[in-house]
Amino acid sequence: MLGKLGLSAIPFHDPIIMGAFGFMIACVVALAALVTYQRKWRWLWSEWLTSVDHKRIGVMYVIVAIVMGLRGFADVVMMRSQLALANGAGHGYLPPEHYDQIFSAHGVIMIFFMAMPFLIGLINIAVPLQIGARDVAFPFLNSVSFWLFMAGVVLVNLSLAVGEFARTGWAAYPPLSELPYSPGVGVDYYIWSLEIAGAGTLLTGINFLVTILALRAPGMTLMRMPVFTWTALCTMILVIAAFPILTVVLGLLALDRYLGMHFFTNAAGGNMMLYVNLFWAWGHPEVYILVLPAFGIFSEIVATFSGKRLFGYTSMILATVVITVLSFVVWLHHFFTMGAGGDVNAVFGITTMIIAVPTGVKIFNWLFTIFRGRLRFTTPVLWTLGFIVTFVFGGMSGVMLANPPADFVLHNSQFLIAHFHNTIIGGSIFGAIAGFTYWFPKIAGFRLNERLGKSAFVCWFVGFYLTFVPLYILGFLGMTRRVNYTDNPAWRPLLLLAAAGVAVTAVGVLLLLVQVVVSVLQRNEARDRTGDPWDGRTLEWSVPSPPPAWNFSRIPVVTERDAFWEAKREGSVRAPSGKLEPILVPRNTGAGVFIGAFGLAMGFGMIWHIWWLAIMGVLGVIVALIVRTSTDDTEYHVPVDTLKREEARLLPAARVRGSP
Amino acid sequence: MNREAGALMAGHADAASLRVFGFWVYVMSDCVLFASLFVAYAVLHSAYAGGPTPREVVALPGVLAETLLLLSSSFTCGLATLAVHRGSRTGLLAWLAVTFLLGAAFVGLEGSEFGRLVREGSGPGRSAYLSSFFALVGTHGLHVTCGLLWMLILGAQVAVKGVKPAAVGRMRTLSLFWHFLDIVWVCVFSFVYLAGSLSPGAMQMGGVPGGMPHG
Repeated sequence: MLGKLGLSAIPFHDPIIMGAFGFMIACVVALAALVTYQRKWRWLWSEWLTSVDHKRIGVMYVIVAIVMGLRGFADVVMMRSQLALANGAGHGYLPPEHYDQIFSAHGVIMIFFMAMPFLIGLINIAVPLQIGARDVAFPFLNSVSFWLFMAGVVLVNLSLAVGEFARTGWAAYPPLSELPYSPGVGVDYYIWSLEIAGAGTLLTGINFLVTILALRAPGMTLMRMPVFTWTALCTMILVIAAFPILTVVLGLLALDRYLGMHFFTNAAGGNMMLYVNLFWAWGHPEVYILVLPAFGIFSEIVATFSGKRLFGYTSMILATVVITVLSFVVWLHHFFTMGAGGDVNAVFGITTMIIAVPTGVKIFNWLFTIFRGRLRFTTPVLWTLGFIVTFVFGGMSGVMLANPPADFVLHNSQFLIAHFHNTIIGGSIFGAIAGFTYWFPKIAGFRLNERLGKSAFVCWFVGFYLTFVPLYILGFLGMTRRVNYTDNPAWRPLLLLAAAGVAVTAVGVLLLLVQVVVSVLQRNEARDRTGDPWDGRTLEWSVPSPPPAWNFSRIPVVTERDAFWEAKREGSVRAPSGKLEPILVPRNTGAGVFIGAFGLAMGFGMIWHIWWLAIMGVLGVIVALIVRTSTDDTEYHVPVDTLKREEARLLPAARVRGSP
Repeated sequence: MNREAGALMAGHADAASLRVFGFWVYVMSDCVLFASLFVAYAVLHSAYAGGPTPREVVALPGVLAETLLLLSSSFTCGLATLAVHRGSRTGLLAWLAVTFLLGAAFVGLEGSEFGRLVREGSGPGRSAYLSSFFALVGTHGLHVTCGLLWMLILGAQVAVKGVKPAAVGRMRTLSLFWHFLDIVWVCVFSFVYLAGSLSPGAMQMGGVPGGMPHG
């Protein structure tokens, strides 16, 4: 009846796990109690959970990403404190089987459930506004994407207390991830949470590719698109071309585990390197899925706060496209040690070094945009400057690793750990926080507190270097990754330094949270009544903050790059032109929530071998789709009167600033 | 497309063409999915592990029948699309039914082929070659099954509500999907079945290329 699930699946004996899960439950209960007390359930359901508005879906992505980021960071605190304690005579407090789950969960959460949804959330919020569209191409599909992602989130969090998570590292290489060596449900949690969330990501990719290519405002040619939209477009191409490979490779691993097949096993002709190749054929494009949107965010910020056009727009776009293509021909550098031979390794070493060239082009574009600009040192700019410095270091260490002989020495060492954190934190995470600060007023209607934001940046920046410079050195000294104990006393000071760095970063994380709370409390002091708090350049700043559900009452006509900036210069912002017509807006629907819930049931059933639940989940998804496709009344008209009222209420405010 | 269909889609032309474009993009991503499965097959196709070789697995006459069924279902699917553009409910339902029957016969034949192999001890767990064979062919079969389900739902909706603009759009995407599965099947037929029956392993077994297994 319940498959492999029983009371023994819950580790009551482990105070750390039970404490963490108890805290999680307490948070959920407190939140539910608050919503009940405020009588907000109906509002939460009809205005947010069932929303098909890209801005609200974007906000939900970002909120979940931040919560998951906190969980991933808790893993960091545990790992770094364990390594600071477990040296020589000390053995720390985390046994290997628990420590292995923590580093696996940390990687999976940070990549799939924090960095990617954070950036997808920002893409959701900003891209339709930047291209002058009223919504995405498929609003309902957007809701389905989000709720499939949520199903993955719930599965990963359940694994904390119900059963276990994978102990295989975030890439789950076989044969370790095969049944004989990982007989528990950990790898199954890994497989199903990523399969379900990955399906959602693929749908997002299709949705936004079509949105960007087909729904741009009249006059916005490809080469007039904002850079963030360009990077989003390239990101979506990567998603569409790469995610099916992940679906297949995890599916084949599942076939091995569930039906006794032999794709990656030691026996019966299986080939584990097939897994590794396929995994990284998805995995390297994934790296650029994480960093391209961040490049776009920094481009917007640099141009806006320098008060200048972006230097070298065309070369920036070309560099983005070149990176998109090249990201598919470098995957083998993740395993030069496979033994493919000198010729193969040389080819992939060279392609890897070449991909640094377009990235370098971008760095110079940003620098030359700042050069002779009037840079305003706001919080987003600090994150951008921090990124430029940090990412150059990370890129350089990447070029070192691109050299196969060097890689043979540094493979799987702490040097590698330092390298990819250097690029992912310095690139994606700094970019996500910069974008969060930059677009926050557009959604909330007020700016974030600058002082707290800047203090948070300083803590993050200092904490980052304190943590990862020691890891670079430890890598050279020979410390490998994924160990929960070291016996070399010479490493101790460096491990303590890295732990201190995490403490400083923790202050930065706390300050970010305090910043949001304080900003909400003092929102009246930083209200954005103009819709254009930063003196922006692109169309999202031409609409009120927060924008109405339909974004644009009149679709803008674009004649130049930086469309809003040009409109402000010409003074045409003051006089809205064009006829108002009733607008068709999609109705909210619960179908997406149900599809996500049934997807969750399917995943949970598969993980615990509760077959009836899995079948019910699949049938539920099908029924939800039938009901949804049989519903005709999915849209409503917003009448011209409402549009006029909205315009009268909001546009005078938006026109306060007028020309620069 | 004639004038009637144009009138039918008036006002929804934009939304419909967006859906078709979006579906094209989905089909492209499905190409990558099948490409990955073909890669797995290419890597593992000679990993027999002492088990049966393609010559013993491939039953060409059955596969030929499957191919003919699927190719003719693509033709009838085209006729169903023409019917929907004429706004003809009966035509659409009739051709959809024929397409469904042909597709179901394809899935049935494939199922019986799989059943025979499993009974003979040549199931997917026997060797890496058979794992990759079952995964590739089975994923295609699963897609066809989803297409059949789609036909049932679309047929029911059209039977109840008549030929609405939404149904026109869905028939267009369904036919895209169906033709795409046809093309994938041509690749499966060529690389898995034909090349399989010609593979060196099969020759060493003393078989005639393309000959009957267990002859």
